[in-house]
Amino acid sequence: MRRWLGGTLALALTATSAGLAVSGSDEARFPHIEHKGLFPTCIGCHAGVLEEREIDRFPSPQQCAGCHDGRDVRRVDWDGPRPEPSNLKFSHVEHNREANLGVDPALNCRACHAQRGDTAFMAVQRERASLCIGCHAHRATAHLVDAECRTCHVTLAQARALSDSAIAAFRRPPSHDRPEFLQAHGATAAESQARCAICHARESCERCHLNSDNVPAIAALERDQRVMRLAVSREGAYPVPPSHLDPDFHIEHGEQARTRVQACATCHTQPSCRSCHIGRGASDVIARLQPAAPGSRAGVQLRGQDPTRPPTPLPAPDRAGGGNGSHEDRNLAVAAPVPVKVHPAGFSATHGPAAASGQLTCEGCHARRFCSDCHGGEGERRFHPANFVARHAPEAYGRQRDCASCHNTEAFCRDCHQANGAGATGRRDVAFHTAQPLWLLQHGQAARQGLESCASCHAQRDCMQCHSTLGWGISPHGPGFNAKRMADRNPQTCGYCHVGGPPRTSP
Amino acid sequence: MRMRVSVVMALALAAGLTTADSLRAQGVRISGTTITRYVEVRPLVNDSVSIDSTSGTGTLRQGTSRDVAVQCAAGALFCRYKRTADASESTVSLIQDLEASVWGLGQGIRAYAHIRGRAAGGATKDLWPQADDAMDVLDAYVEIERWRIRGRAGRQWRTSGMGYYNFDGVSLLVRPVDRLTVDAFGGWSLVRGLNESLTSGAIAAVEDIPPDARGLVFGVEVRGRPTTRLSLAGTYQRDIRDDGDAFYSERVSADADLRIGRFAGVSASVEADLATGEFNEALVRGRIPLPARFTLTAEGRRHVPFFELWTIWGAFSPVGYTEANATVAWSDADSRLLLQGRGGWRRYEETDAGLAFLPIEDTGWRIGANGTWRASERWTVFAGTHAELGFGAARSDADAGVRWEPNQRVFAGARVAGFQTAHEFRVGTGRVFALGLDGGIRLGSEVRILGDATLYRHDYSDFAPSTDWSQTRASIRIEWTIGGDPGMREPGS
Repeated sequence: MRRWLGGTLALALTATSAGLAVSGSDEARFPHIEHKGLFPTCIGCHAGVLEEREIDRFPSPQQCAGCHDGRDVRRVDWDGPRPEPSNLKFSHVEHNREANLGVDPALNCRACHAQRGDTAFMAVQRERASLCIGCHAHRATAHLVDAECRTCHVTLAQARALSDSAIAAFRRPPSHDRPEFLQAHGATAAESQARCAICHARESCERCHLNSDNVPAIAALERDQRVMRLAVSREGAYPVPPSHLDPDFHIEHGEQARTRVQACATCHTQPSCRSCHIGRGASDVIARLQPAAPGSRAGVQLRGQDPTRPPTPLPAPDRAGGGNGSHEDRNLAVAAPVPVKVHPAGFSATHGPAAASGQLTCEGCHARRFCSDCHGGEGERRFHPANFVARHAPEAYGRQRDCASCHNTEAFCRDCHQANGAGATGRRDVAFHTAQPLWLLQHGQAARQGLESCASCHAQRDCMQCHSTLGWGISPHGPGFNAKRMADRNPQTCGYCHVGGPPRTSP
Repeated sequence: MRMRVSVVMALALAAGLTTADSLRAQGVRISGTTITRYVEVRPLVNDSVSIDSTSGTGTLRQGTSRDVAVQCAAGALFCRYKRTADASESTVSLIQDLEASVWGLGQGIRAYAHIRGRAAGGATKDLWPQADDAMDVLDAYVEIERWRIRGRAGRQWRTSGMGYYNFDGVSLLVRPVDRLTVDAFGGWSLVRGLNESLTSGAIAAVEDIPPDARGLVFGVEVRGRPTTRLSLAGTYQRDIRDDGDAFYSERVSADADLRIGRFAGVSASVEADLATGEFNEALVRGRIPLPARFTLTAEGRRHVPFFELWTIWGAFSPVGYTEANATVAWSDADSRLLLQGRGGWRRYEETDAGLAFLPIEDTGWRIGANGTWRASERWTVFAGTHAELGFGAARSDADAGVRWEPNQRVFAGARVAGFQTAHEFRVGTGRVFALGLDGGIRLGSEVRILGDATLYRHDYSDFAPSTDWSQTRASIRIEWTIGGDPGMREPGS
């Protein structure tokens, strides 16, 4: 910004001269000091200056020819300096009036145009910005640092004569090179939007800001074709905000997004969020961001990024140069969602309480099918280790996982066990539990400890051969069995074993 | 019946999609996954030897002609045993998932369906579970979401503290205030994990006392987040016979999760069966960061099996166990190396069954460790080992592998594995060694092809009859998507 503003001023001062200003080359064409004896006042030649008339701001060629007629004095080729475009706001009329009114009697032509250390009349030079600052109170000590630019400059939109190259040559103020500038400039811009407008048009901000329509400080800027042409070749720069470096940001960001989504919208469009949020849970927030569209700016893209790893902060050279952020991927055509590890290791086996309690809005990140791929029983293989079918016995007995949450114990397990010969056939002499010679005497304990495993091979009638009034009448009920409680809810179940209805008293 | 319901659902979906196609303004997104797998086993078969070819006395004897344990029924001339079949049997399964989401039917309205087709070929199609069930409808519903209300009608599944349930019916979720939701639901219940009604025949195929009435399930779930760090949920669910005569189940659950600081947290869940008065699940889990980038997760748990009341199993007084688990994880500063160690121990309650001098194992433990090392941006190495001993079975295993991922489109990997299982209730031990390769490639942004092939070698003896897992297993998975996402304009639009 310093350089930019400086460039603006230098260019303006050099280019316009506004009548009294004289560049070095102008001074060579017309050495004022050599004419000091000829002209008693400035306005003799620069009459138009005090009345803002362009036509007689400088002496005409005819006036010069009055002396430089080729006889006594050589002819000169003089047509005066051409007015050049500027964004300077300087009124000789105003300054002269103030001088005449006594507001500042010293505010005469020499006050600004006298050469340093030379008090001779017509020892003049081009005005300097420091002279302006000497009177117009600056908060800082030099030009191009924090200042009220409007005092001396018109806005870029008002300086319509400036060319693209002139705008491109604006020098950046030193504040713009500070590391924190990109993070902090929003607040500054909101406070003093008019100051930004001296050098910037709306397109300047839109180069990075995806939500410029919703940012009042940006929306207040006028559009400018010149800036648009300059900005088209410069991509946005997206520094990583400090909040994003928090290791928990991938968990916490939802709350932040809900409360101030426009902050997100500065850098992100909907596809950014949809890199992870392929579900519907956060749709109401995401919908407040800009959608993606061919040809429009995509902003920071996150596909392929690991949200648990803080993004790399944008290097300072990139920030200054406005290049791509290191965490940016603009290649939307080929980028595709990549599984990301948001949750702690082993979360697939422990996610129940977090998901059920609503601590995690699963649908915010996961498509509905993500759940049914596992809970649906036979979708993608990713929960169990390879060839779990050959390894599953200990887990099945121990029920470390709720097998029934994905597999139907009766149909899924029994179907497979029967197909590979492990399932029960109703016979009691098939020698499956051969490791336990007295299995018949032990099976009760095993059954009570792992009845789900029994049911994965045995049908109910296998057990009813003994444990029913149709069989041997051996009660399977444990000491704490509350027959009434169960019978109240489903008496038919009792009737399977207790022919004629459940007994009147609990066994 | 199962087929009929599935077809009706499928036709409904097709009609929906057809209608969707006719409406210009709406969006459609269809995803498909095709998975085909090859499975080959030598199943167990019944065999017998003459009682004269056995040694010993009593019911269980030693076969002399073949070194196996045999079971001799009183008075029988032949003793029976199980052995691995001489010939292997194989099947090739094909699973086709189709998921469709249609939106733009009106403000907040969408239709969603997830269908699964299933087929198996080869000599022994029955090797693949549910191979005879050609099509399942996992989801097929219409949804409307406006303001603070979301309603769904159709087949849908829901997750809660009780796990994963699906049903045919309606659900209505209301958000009366921010951070509070009340979700009421009801309809015909389906068999968990089968997507079929209780009377559809799916159960009858494997159970000779199947339920004789469909179930009606209804319930309500309340979820709240008093603060951003605390979430609470409670669910009541009742499943009754559709003739109203009896319950199939009546359950409640409660879940809570509290995050403390940046990395610590506590979660708890309780699940109870009101029919038996048992707490089927009671869990408390805490996670706390330790110095030097260690994290400790500790868990206390009590588990009692749950059975629906259309079975007699609940009347057998199943007992539960109490378990303690702990996991310690460590990662280096930039998370390139992740290491994890875990262990657990459990004890079963008194069963009041069996004989004191013939006890079976009533405790169990498990221990394991695994690690992942991201050696570079392209290479990842992982390994793990696990051992588990409990009543009924025991196992130790180890896995290791490497994965190469040069870019987001392609990956390839190789892995080795070895595991040994031992079964307490039958003589069966076996060691399996495996060597496998896998890989995947993304073709464009919405098509991905993955494949894997693994060679297993099973080392076992005839004395330890066990399904022979010496085989070559392979699978191919193709994933594709057509259509766009809500909020993302289609190219050219």
